[in-house]
Amino acid sequence: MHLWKEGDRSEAICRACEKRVTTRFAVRGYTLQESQVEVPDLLVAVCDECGGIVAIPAQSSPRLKEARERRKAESLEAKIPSHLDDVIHLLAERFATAVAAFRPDLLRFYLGEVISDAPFAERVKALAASELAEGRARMRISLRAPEDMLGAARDAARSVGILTDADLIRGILVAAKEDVLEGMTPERALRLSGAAQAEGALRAAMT
Amino acid sequence: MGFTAARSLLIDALLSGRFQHEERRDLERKNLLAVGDVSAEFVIGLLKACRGNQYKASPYHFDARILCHEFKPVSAGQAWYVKAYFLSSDAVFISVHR
Repeated sequence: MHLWKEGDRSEAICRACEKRVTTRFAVRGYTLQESQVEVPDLLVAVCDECGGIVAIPAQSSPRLKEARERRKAESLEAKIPSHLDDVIHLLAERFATAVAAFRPDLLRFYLGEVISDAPFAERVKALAASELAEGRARMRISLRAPEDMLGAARDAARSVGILTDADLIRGILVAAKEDVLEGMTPERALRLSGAAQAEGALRAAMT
Repeated sequence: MGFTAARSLLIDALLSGRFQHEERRDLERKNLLAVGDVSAEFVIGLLKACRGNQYKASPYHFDARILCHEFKPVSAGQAWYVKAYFLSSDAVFISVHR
């Protein structure tokens, strides 16, 4: 397979210069614009005229893939019905806390429950298949968390038959609704309120 | 350069590693080969599956002397889009996506 080296010359079309230009291969930090994944020390082709990155050689693709996979391991993304996103807002209101800060804490709390409580994980699986978990998935929800935590949560979920991140999140949110808004699990609601209070909640959930 | 020649040269480039990817803001969505979502071998398969009536060439808008080669093969029931051009001895991919 052909390999380019730093300093090798080539050509490319530079979109900034809007023309064909000569290029030189250099090692640069590169950011994938859509995901904002940063890839350090990537061999790229740099425009001789404007100095911008204009092309990526074939040999750099594995580094891009690795960086994206590393980011995927550190993040959980799913699309959920809007009424389940409403649950997050209702819980934030119940705990008198800002939803933007509360949302990740809520999800991390329940992922921890899935990891540590096998019967709860089974309940999440059942709730993911419930009518309340159904609906057109309009809302995108994402969570950054330590890779080992997400890995453990996914392992625990798979072990009870929850096959997708979307099902995991749907089941968690239905469980949260039952635990807090319906007062089904006061002990868990109280522990969740502690997590919410860490974000400046004014009062604990009423049980 | 016609369909057969363009396809043959592109496959050669994929086999030899003599290809680059044009930088674009939506690289992750529009060039799955660049970000490793598909392999060079997979794209070779797409090109081999392409029929002549699924190919067209047109001048590149930044430099009309450069021909952009567009392939629209169907593989496993999915329509794909591959767009590339040649500069010197190297191929440059603009798009590889469904």
